[in-house]
Amino acid sequence: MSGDATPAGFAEFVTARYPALVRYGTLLTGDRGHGEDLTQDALVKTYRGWRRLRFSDDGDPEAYTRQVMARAAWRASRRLWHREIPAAAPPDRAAAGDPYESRDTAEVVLAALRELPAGQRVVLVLRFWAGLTEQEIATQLGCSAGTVKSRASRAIGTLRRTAGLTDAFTLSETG
Amino acid sequence: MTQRIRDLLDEAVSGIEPGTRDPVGAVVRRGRSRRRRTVLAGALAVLAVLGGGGLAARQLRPDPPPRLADTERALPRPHVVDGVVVVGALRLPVPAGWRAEAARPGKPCRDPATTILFVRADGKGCTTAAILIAVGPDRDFPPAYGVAFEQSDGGQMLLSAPIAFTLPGGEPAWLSERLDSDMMAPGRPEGYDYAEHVVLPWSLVAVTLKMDGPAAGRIISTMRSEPVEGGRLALPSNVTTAELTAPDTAGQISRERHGEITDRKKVAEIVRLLGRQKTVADTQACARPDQDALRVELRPPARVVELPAKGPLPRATSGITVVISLGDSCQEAVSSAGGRVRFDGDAVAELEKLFGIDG
Repeated sequence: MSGDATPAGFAEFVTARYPALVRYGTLLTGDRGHGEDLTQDALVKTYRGWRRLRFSDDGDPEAYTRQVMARAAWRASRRLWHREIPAAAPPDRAAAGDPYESRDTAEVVLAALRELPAGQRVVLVLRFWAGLTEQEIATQLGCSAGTVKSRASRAIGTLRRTAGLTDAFTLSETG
Repeated sequence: MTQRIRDLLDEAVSGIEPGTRDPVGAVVRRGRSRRRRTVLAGALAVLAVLGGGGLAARQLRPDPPPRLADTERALPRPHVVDGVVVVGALRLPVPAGWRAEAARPGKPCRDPATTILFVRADGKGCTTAAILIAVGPDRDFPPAYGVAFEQSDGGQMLLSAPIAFTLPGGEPAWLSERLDSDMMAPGRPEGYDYAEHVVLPWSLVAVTLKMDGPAAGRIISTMRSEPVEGGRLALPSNVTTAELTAPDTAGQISRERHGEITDRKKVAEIVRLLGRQKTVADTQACARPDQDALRVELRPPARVVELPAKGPLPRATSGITVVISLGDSCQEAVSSAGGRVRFDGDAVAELEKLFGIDG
C-alpha cells in the first residue's frame, strides 16, 4: 500500500519485486524464513537510501537490494547463520525408506543448499544462478577471486555427492 | 553444467511465496524496531531496577479494570462445510469451479488459479494459490503502509492505520490496499504480484487475494462472518509504551499528528480512556473503508526471548493495536484482541490531548 508521503516508487517496487527477492533470499540462506528476513533487512537499507540514491529517477533499486542481501548473507556466514539455519529447518536428507521419497526436486535442492556452509552457498548462487564472474563476486563480497573459486568448487563437489540431488540432476536433464 | 545448476536453483524456489502479507509495512516496522532497540534496552534496565514489570502493571491498573486481552487465544482451524470455508468468524463460499485444500509437505500445488489454499505456519508444502488463508498473529498484523521521514527530519518511520471495514455479520476486517488503488488496477504487466490482504483481527485470520482489485472485490463481497469477540475493548495488562498515529486534514500521515508516550501515568490514562467506552453491538457495527482512522499501539515492556533450537517459535507478544474509525456517522474503535466500542469526538479529542496532539 502506498501513502503519498512514502518515497515515490518504493511501495510499487516492493510490491512488484518482493516475491522474487524472497526467492533470491531463500537461495542465499537455504531457508524461506531466513530468506525473507534477509530480504526485509536489505529493503530497510533500500528504503533509507531511496532518495539519496535517486532510485525513483534512474537508479536500480533491485540490483542494490540484491547486492545488500548477498553481502549480508556472506557476512553472516562468519557469524551465526551457519549454525542457526539447520536448527530452524531440520535437514530433509533423502534416505532409503524416507516417507517423503516422492517429494519434488525443489525440496531436495533446498535441503542440499541448507547443508552447504553459508559461504559456499552464497558463492554458488552468485556464480551459477546470478551468472556473475568470479572476479565480480570477489569485488561484491570483498574477498579474493581465489576464495570465490575454491568455495564454488567445494559447493559443486558437495552437491554432486548428495544422493537426492543426483536424481534431481537426472530429472533436470530428461525433463 | 552452469545452465543445469541454474535450472535446479530456479526450480528450488519457483514455488516459494513470501510469508509476509504486507511487505511494505513489514519493512517499515523492521526499520522502526531497530531504532527502538536501544530505547527498549534502557527501558528494560529501568524496569529491572524497579523490581520488574509488576510495578508497571500496578501503576496501570484502571478503575474499573479493563477487559484484558487473551494473549493465548486458540488459533482457528480452516475447514470446509457445505462448500463454504469456515475459519474463525469468517465464512467464505468456495467459488464455482474452485477447490479449497490444505497445504501438505511434499504435496505439489494444483491449479493455483482456482484454489483456496490453507497455508501452513511453517511454510511447508504448496504456498501458491489465488487465495491464501493463514491463521495466527505475526509481524504483519495489522496491515499498514509506512511513511518515512528524511534523516535530517529525524529519520522516523510511521505506520498508517489499516483500512477498516465491517463484514456482513459484524466481524471487523482490515484491508492492506484500497481496491481501486493504482497498485490493484487491472492490466499490470506480467510478473506483477497483486496482493490484497484481508485481516480479521479477532479471528487471527489473514486472507491474501492474489488478483487485481475488481476480482478481489468480488471475492470480498461474498464473505460473511459470525463474530464472537465483541464487547468492551480487550487491552494488554501491562503497557509501557503507547503510540498514536492520526491522519491530518488531508488524510495523510504526518509527524505533527503522531505521538509516543512512555510516561506511566499518561499511559494509564490512555488505557483507561480506551477501556471505559460504550460497547457497539455486532449488528450496529458500521466502519467503512472510505473512513479515515487513528492507529493506537499499546506495547508491553520488551523482554528477551530464548529461541528454541528446534520446533516452532514462541508466539509474539508485541502488543495490541486499536483502530479508531473517524467520521460523523460512525465513529468506533476496534481492538485487535477483541472488542468494539463507540469512540465519539470528545473521546478522540481527549486521546489526542493525552498524546500532546492539538487539533
